[in-house]
Amino acid sequence: MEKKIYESAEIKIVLLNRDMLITSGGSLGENEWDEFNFNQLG
Amino acid sequence: MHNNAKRRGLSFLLILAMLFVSVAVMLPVATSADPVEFADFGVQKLAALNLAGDEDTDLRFVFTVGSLDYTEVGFVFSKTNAAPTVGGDACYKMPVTVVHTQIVADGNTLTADPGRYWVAVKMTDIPHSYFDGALYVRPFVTDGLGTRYADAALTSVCDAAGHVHTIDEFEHERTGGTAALDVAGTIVGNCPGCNLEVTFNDVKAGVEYQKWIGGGGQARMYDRRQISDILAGGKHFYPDASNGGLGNDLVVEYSILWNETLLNLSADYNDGARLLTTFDTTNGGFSGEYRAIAYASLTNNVKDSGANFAGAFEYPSGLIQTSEPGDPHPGMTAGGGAYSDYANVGGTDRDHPEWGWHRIGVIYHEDVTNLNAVKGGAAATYKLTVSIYIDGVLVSILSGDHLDRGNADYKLFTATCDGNGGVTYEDIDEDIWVFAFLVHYVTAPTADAWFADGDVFVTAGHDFVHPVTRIANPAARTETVGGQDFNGAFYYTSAGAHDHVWGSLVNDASHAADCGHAATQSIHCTICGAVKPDSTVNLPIDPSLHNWGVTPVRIQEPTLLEDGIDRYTCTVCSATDDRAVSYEHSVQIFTTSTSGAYSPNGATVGSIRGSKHFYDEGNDLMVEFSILWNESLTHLRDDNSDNYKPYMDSRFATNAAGTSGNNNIVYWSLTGNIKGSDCKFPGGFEWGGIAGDPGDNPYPRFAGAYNDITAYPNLGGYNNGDGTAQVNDLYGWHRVSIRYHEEVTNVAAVKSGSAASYLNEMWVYIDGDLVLHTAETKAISKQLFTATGGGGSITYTENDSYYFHGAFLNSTRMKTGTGYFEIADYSATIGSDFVQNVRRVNNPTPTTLEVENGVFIPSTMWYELDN
Repeated sequence: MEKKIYESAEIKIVLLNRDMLITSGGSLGENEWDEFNFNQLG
Repeated sequence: MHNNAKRRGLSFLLILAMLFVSVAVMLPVATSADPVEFADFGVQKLAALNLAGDEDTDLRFVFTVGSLDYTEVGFVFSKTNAAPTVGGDACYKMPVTVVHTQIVADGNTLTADPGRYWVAVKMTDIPHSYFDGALYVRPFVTDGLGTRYADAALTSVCDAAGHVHTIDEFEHERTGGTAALDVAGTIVGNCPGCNLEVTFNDVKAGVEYQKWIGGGGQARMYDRRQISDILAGGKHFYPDASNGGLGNDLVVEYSILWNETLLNLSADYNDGARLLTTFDTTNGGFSGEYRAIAYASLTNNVKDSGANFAGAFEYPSGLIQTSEPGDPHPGMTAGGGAYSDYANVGGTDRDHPEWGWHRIGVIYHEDVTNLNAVKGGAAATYKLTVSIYIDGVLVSILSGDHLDRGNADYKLFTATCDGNGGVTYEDIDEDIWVFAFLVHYVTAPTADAWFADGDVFVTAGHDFVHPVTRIANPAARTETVGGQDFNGAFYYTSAGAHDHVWGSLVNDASHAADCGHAATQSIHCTICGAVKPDSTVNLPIDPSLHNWGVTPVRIQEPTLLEDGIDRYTCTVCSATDDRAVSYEHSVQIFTTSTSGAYSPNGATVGSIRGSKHFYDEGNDLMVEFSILWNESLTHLRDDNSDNYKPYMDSRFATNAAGTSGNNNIVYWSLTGNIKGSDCKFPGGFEWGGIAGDPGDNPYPRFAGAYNDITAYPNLGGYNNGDGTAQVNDLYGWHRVSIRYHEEVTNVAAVKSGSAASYLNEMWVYIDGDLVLHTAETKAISKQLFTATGGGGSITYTENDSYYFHGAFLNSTRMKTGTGYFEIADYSATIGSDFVQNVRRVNNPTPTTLEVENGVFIPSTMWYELDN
């Protein structure tokens, strides 16, 4: 568990759940890309 | 030289990035943990992408973030929403929660900058039809402060591939605005690079040019299309439902910059520059089976041309029938159909104050002239028509049944019987090339010369793509071609921007309704040819209207006594129409002298006898003709001392002109005092005899000369013998009939080996009356036949190669004025009957006859048919 604090002049937010954040997956292989189909654009 | 210049057009797409092009970054709010939230925004195509051939493809989209402190990052896409947002209209979100320090993208390994991470997604299965379609794409990041976006970008597969659309503007119609060479329009067509339909606006016509270098080598210029392209989209030249049963014409059009440098081209007669519209089986022009349909001259002296100055148009062969609506045609004396009346097009001897752009149009039209007969199994006959326009003005029409210049004969379509009373059509071979124009090789010019063209179209239809109208007084301007400035002007303008001026109702096809065709008529704009709405009138088949054609069959030859009959046959339904045809006189006119003999009807003995034989009993040489005895014959010399003796005769000869090896069988006098003649008055006859000139002494050599002036007072001039004038107040037509008989008188002796002896017997009639009968047993040097024998048999040899001239007029001279000599209704046959058996008319009714130069001669007919 890690606490991350964003600060500004107006607000202060403390994120308590690190699992909600994006993560680094290191190297992405040629065939490991997240894909979606053109038809999903509607 | 190539002909179809590719021009790079404008793309309506914003170029996003070929790969990893940084874009502007939207700074996050000040509290973000990522000072640079968006970087390295880019798109990547597959390396193996084939834009023109792939059915579908993928695209990769990436950007980098500088922090992991987001709950979600990714892209939003839309086909239509230019500012896509998460949850927005027509938007699709593609989020990721795992980012990468390194990615492998289509074989490329890419490492993010230190402290940054790749956001990477892949769009799959984009169909070919959408390769050019819009994709709005926008990276986003979301954290506790909300969702933020980079600027949206627009891309497509084509853009991602770095593909810029091109189009061959010469192969697609340019529309919109005014369709003149210098005015922009719109081109819609398929891009050859991606095979997608694209639209180019504000496109000016391309200008191609050929520069002949002064003193350099030969070169040529052309613009060509294949029939398969011209007929693309299911078009046909032949009549069918796709074209309303009217068929399609081959329509060729182009603009040409007539300019002063063309004067540098060789005007040598043997290599003058020609500008052709032509067919060819190959794309080389003049290298396969070729045939030209129209010519124009670029110089003043083109070989075989009737167009003796630059800018003239013609079909040079002369075998195609021609007519010239442009009138007059100064200097056009050869090679029919040349058009020369266009002062502002080219030429050193023309008034051309302003050179400039002109627009040439050629329409090649085809008709089947015997359609009903074809349905019955007959071979089709065709009428081909070439109409040539300059600046919208029809200047020449050429028509005929075949193309005659080159080594092939191209029809737009052929028609054959389908075996069931119908017609099967077939278009011209689709592999054939049509050269809108082809400048033939020319010898190197004396100085540089430019040939420039633009707006070239070759289509199947009935109208020009760019109908134009002529400008009589255009404003001067400067045109730059190939870095060379030319003084010129547009001598035509678009016919597209105008109020229509409606003409009268005209036939839409080359024919009106007739016994075999329905047809339509409509009203067209006199400027552009557009059809007036609701003006089309349908005309049903009309059994009373025939197409009689132009070449009748002569059923009966006309004579002086009776009209002939010409039979016309309807080319559509084969109905016939017999029309009377009058005898056409041909006159030999003597003025001060004649330089040669006159014999219009010479023929070989062989052609006269055919399969019959003169040595058969009853077969003689039957010669007859009418002669107009008239007062002007008294103008012939009759001084009894000149070598030009005005006599006529019937003769054998060894040459077609009748002047070599001649042997005369009968003479008659045209004047009163022919040297060496027994006939001391005009109209007298005498037996020519065996050999030699009748003027030779001594004379008379033979009995039987006819000189009874009291019996025929109306023949000839005056009696120079006793100075008493003949009673010849009624000159006119008389009929001369001659029967010439030959036989072997010693057949038995010949069979025993003796030489043959011959009897030559002759009867001469005037107007049916026998006036001279001679019989001689002397051998003559020219005979109908000869005989040899021995051992009990006899062999006849017919002298088929001899020419017989039944009405031979000797060279003569005048003593005063003009003389008119005319014969008519001549025939020379084998048999025992004359073609025209006539009898004398003693008191005919005087009439007159008009001959050459409006001279009228009394022409009473002194004979009639003896029925």
